[in-house]
Amino acid sequence: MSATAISPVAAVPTVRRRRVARLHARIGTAGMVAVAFLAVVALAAILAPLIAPNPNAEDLLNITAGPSLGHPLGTDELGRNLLSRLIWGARTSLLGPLIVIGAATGVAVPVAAVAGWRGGAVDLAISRLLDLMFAFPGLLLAILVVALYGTGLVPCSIALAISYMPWIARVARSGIVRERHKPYIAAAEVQGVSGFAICVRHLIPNISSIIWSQVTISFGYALVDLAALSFLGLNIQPPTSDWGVMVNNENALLDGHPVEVLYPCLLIVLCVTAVTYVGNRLASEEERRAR
Amino acid sequence: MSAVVAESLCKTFRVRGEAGRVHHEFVAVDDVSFTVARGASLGIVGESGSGKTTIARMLSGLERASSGTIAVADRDRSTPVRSSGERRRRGRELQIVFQDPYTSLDPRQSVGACLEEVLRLHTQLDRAGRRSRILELLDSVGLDERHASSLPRALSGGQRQRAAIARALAAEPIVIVLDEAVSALDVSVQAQVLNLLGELRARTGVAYVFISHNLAVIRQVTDEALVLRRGRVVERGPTETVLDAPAHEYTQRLLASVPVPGWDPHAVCGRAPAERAR
Amino acid sequence: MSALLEVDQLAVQLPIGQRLRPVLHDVSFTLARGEVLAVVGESGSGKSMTARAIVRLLPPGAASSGRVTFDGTDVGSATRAQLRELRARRVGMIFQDPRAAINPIHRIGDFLTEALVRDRRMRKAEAHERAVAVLGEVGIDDPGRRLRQHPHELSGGMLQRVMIASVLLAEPDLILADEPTTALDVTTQAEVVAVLGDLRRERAMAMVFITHDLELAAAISDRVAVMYAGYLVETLPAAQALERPIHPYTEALLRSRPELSRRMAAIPQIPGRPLAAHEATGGCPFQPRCSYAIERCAAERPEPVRLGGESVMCHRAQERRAAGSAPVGEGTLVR
Ligand SMILES: Nc1ncnc2c1ncn2[C@@H]1O[C@H](COP(=O)(O)OP(=O)(O)OP(=O)(O)O)[C@@H](O)[C@H]1O
Ligand SMILES: Nc1ncnc2c1ncn2[C@@H]1O[C@H](COP(=O)(O)OP(=O)(O)OP(=O)(O)O)[C@@H](O)[C@H]1O
Ligand SMILES: [Mg+2]
Ligand SMILES: [Mg+2]
Repeated sequence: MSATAISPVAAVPTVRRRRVARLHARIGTAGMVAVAFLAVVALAAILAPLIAPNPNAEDLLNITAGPSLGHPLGTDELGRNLLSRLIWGARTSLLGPLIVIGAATGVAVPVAAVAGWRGGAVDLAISRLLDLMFAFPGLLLAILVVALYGTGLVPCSIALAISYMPWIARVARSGIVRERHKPYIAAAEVQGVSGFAICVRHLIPNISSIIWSQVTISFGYALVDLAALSFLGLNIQPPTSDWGVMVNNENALLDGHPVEVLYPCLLIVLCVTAVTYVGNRLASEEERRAR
Repeated sequence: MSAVVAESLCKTFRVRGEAGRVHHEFVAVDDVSFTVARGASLGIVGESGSGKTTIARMLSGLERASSGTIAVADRDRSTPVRSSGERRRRGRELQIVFQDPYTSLDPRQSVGACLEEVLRLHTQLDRAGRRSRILELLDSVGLDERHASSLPRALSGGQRQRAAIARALAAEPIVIVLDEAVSALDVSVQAQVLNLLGELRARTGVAYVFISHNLAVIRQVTDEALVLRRGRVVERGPTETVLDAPAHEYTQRLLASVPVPGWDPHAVCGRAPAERAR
Repeated sequence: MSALLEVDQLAVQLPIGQRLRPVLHDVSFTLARGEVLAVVGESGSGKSMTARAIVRLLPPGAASSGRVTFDGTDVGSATRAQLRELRARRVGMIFQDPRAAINPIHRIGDFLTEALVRDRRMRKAEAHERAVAVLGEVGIDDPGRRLRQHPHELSGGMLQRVMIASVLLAEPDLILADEPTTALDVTTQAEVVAVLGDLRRERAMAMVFITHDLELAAAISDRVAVMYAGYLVETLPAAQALERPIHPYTEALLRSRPELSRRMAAIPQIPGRPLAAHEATGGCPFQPRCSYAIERCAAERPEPVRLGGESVMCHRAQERRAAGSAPVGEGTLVR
């Protein structure tokens, strides 16, 4: 552990600097690098209309061009600016998993809390239902939903959210069951705190570390799954730029111009790795602090 | 007026039987009755597994009695709570302190926030009022302002246990149930907590139901004592009488088992050395 | 005879807040085969941490120094596999809080027989039989039923005995027992201690027994070690522990006991606040609370001195020993 690396940051006594230092202490230098990378990608995605030219503008004089001042990463086989396409693609590529995981967690945690808190028959019923949902593969469900409601980000995200929900719910439930019998929960019950308040104020915060790690890992999977759906042509449709769509460009490979496939692949891998790393560090730190 | 009246309390648990599905009933508490007057202190001692914790849980509503009635401050609490108002009222009548100081406090909640939560639930105090009451409560258990902002993990076992007692006191209950609340403390911290309990009772008139395995501690903080074995009361009376002139054979055995200089565990439990089953 | 366990200058630092802070300072002791060392002391003084450091079960992020030698092998440099073997077969650990140490999701039976079936390749039925026998020994009636129950269905004392039974099943050479009888009534405590005593006699099993009960410590052990703020402040023969302690902290501790025979107006307390190990300054850690402190105590940390059978960390040890240190019970200690 690099204890010395903290000091230059911590030396400046502003609140923000201190917050950065605290985050650094929790996730380490590698974690900070990962966070910085994700922040840059997210910021680029948000600011895309300001910083990136139209990703679908075709510069037919410069097709499959190498890097130049006008096209820092070169162009694809239609002469579209690759960097611009990557930046705009980040919007859908990151928004998708965010919706998936947000929706899945939003449903999973309350469901798990009810199961873990009430126990008995309620718990049994919910657990059986989750087991049933496990049996249904996510991608298959997504294909089914697309067949029914058409292609697009929303049906795909909802389908994936449904299939991710039981994973998060199962992990959260087992955490709650473990925590449920601890005396501090009993003490709150005896105080007269309502079951709802106990779950929201005590139970769920205390299992946040395991929820966090499950959520970040799922975020990575969802990113890959959505890209795969785009690749299969079920999610985002060309010409809208999306990393998954960009990867699904057999022309690029046939034309012997693989960089336009390589860049989005690299971004997907880097984002998944960064999110998972930070999530795991936060989770293990959380665990250590709670003890 | 009495603080607690428990009449013919019984608790049976369903236990999984030999062949998986078959269940049978296990009687954990069997026809236990007692009363605790306001400001009095009742000690409960007894064999491990004799139902002491189960009684504490029934008194505090964490477990439902299979039969029998419980009244605290002359109000019945044998039925489950119906309204949030009633739930809070029960909280103001009876509080509990558990054995393990390490898991009795929410690890993510500072001591101050923990007390704040209780005060917000039970009192009409405004922010400033709650703040000063928190300091008052901490002071009464020998903690100070510094500890208000500490998370439990920054406190020693004894300090945590005092924080748990402060939480129990916050709602100004009529009775506090202490389930082996000093067992995990070293003797010097235990001395602090016992002195504190005595002082609080003299000052506020709170009543205790005090569960412990330590007979010297029972002597120190209780007026009356119950001896429990296999879910039944085998002896009861003023603490002095029970400890000085035990009538029941089990109580006598209990007293004879207390470690003293020259203590021989084999003689105490009446088994020849090394008749260990192989 | 060479010692079974040798702990030499063991120090442990833990990440507390943002920094590594010491929780144990230079703890040294040895334990022969068949010997019992009782450890008493303030809560938070590092008793559990000492036991955990012996088998390298430290919290994540901990740093340690010093040497722990078990039966000739250096635990500090043991490989992962050697450590697992050590914990599974040779050194049994009875954890302080059985509710935290036993997985709440599994049945008691699974908890007890898992290691036998996995590590000892015992048949399931045989392991079950052994588990039933050992539970019976620690005074749990109807063990067959208990094996089918989950941890939350057992009382605190029963779970503690399950923990003890799991260690007995492994038949180790050394047991690290962290407050193994705090949740037990005195009669059951006697039974459990008797079982441990038998093991000691039959198999020359050694034991480190952490407890808050000073009488119990003196009754079952050969030597008593007293810890304060991460330091081992005194080690003395058990026979002497209750009568003639030398360290002022031990003396004060003995005075803080409630009495079985009478009710006291107030139990004598030790003035001041216990010190965390990392708060210790240059002087003696007990100095701020000690009624015998002299100037030197604040300025200079005492080194442990050996006096006959004991080892004491106190500047005034010689003088207190010569004076026969005040017999406990008479109020020489102010307050
Ligand atoms: N939820 C439960 N399901 C089944 N049996 C239970 C349950 N809770 C307690 N019991 C049983 O009830 C009996 C009494 O348990 P209790 O915890 O009240 O004992 P205790 O007197 O507090 O013992 P100790 O001194 O060891 O803490 C025990 O035999 C225990 O196994
Ligand atoms: N996981 C941890 N992280 C940080 N500090 C810890 C951790 N575990 C223990 N400590 C600290 O280490 C010190 C020694 O703790 P230890 O558990 O050894 O005390 P103990 O002597 O066993 O006390 P008790 O009698 O209360 O069990 C304490 O000050 C405690 O706060
Ligand atoms: Mg109990
Ligand atoms: Mg400990």
